[in-house]
Amino acid sequence: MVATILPIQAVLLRGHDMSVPRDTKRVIGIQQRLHSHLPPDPVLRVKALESLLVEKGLLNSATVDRWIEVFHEEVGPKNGARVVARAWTDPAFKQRLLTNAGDAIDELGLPRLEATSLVVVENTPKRHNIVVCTLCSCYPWAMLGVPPTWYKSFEYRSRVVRDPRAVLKEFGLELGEEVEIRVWDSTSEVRYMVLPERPAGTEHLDEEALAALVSRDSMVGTALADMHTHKG
Amino acid sequence: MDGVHDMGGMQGFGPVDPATDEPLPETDWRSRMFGIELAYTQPGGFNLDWMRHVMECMPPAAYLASEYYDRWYWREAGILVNAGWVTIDELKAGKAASRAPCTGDPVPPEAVSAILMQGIDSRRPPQGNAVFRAGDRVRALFHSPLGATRLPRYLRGHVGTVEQVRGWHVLPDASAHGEERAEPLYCVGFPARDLWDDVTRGGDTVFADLWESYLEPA
Repeated sequence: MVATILPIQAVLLRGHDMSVPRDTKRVIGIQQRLHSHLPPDPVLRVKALESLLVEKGLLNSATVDRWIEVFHEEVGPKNGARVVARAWTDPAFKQRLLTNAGDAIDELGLPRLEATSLVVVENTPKRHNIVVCTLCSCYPWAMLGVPPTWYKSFEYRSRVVRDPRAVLKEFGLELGEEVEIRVWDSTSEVRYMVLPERPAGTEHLDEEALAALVSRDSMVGTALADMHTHKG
Repeated sequence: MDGVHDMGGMQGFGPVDPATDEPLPETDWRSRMFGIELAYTQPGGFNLDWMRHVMECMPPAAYLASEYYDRWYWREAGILVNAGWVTIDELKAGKAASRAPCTGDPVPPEAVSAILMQGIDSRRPPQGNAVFRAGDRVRALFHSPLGATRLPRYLRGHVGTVEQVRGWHVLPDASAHGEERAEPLYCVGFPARDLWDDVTRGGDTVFADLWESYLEPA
């Protein structure tokens, strides 16, 4: 699947040997100045930033187009759904997925991007998993695409570690008292994805039909696999 | 740093609206911002730890009032101005008044697929033995530097159990400030009832991935 191996680390780290001040107090001061001097409208600011970076030779606008295209066409929850459907139909794959998710997704030729250290956590009748990033918005992009707005919202980030049951109710999901909840706060580069339970009555479905059942939210843990109450 | 970004457990926020989504139409400023961040040549190289920290340094009121991709703008503007590669006047005008350091051609569109497949990896080879093992009880330190860290405030001082040793990973506290150093990383589970005094039910657990220097034996 990797057609050309480019020296990616070299591309991303170009200029890493250049000395850059990395001082917190200095950046707090810069952020205050930016906010008092730049106009409030993000449309104008982002447009100006793009032109400026292109003019300075720091950005190729075609690469911006390409990233947007990739996240429209190639990367999204359908990647995660393929993984889930394979795990539901192939017990040996499921075992490999739960032990070393990175290697298992390589078998399917799926991208890694920021999910080089992917961990898949399994829901059972007695255990429900939910993923969050309280400090920013870490999310398994490679498996699920860009995160939905609610995942990045202050409401979700602040509340799901403290009162997951109340948050799940807001998603229309009410778990029994006997179900243990495990909340995974994505504080490192480890990325989490939930393996939801296979819905009852789907024994006759093949892998492709099963993948179509798997909602994005069920792989974050705010829905069950066949709950399609919300987009995604 | 003890910033507004460290939101786990904060009270006062209202219900989550599961219907809110943010499609990225190709011409929208949000899409452009998304692509710019992934595509531009960053001063000192692409460093996620520094990128996160520069966003944490936003004025708290602005952090709370800005929408998601606008926070990305403020982050990139901060990174560029800090390095002296652009000025505030240039950001305002959208026109260059000076040259940037010579960094070679910017990332071409052909590189995107390869970046996607290979990914960014924070794992490093072990440089010794990990101090803790799965099943060990550990306490999260009272660690509150004026700088980057990934130990959430709500875990400080609490005791948890090592669920899994995740190998050696680059330490964000050092990497954000320009020094690459790896440490063992541990997935630690904390009983929810120990973290919050309004949890009545036992058995629920909050897990976080914490570096060795955040922890002491308990």
